[in-house]
Amino acid sequence: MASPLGSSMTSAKRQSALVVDDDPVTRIITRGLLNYFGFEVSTLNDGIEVVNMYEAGKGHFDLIITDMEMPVMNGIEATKKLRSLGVGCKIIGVSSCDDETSRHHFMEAGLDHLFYKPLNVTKLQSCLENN
Amino acid sequence: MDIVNQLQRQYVDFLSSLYREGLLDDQFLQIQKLQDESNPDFVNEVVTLFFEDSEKLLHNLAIALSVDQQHVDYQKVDACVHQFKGSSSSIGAQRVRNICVSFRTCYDAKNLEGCLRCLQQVKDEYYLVKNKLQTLFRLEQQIVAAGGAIPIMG
Repeated sequence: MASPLGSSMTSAKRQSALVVDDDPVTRIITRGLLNYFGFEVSTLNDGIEVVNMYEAGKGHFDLIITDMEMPVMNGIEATKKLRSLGVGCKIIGVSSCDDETSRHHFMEAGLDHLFYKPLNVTKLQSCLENN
Repeated sequence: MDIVNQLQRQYVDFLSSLYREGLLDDQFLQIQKLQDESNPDFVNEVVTLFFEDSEKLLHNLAIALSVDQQHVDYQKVDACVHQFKGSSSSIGAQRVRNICVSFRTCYDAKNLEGCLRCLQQVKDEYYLVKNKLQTLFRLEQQIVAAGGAIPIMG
């Protein structure tokens, strides 16, 4: 199936994205989704890793997609920390959690969008188009 | 009807049955959309990783639930089931995912008997969908070997 990129993206610099999720299956699928939209993708396993990366000055992504529940540092804490470090890129949260309070806290932490898992082409397209 | 058409028809009928029986949901179709010339083995890679990951999780769950009622580490059970729910949901293995939802009710209530029942159910559903997906991939290989293209479902 043809990617929705069009010829404009192929000539421009590719945007970079970071996927943060402790589930390897979700990581590979989200990577595939982002590749489909033309992103160069890196992945990390936990919120603590993305915070450490940015604290060390090595984080430079156009988009971050983060899971909510992760073993060491969850997505809520990681997002709060990233925003407090001045990270201004789009951050999308994904979660399978039904608890509305937790989801509210996740949005309030500084997300641009929050989706129920699983993420797919339709959901990602809707928020990438709303730039 | 030549062999390629026959195999393609068989593929479409088989895949349709997996959706009809609730073994797969729309998420699997979304994953198939991501496979293209630059990523020709994407679905196979994702599903293979799901198989490997699932078998580790099932093994860990069996260990966590093999002790007596007083010593079950329900946090460990929660972590495994949560991950299994996430990964099965990500690939569209709908019935596996649904059992994980029921599983949560049992370990939240610290109901060991219920957990053991759910473990058996999730194993049954997992091995069923694994078997079906392996059949699907064999059909794909046969189509390609016969010189045909794998049909794209709408």
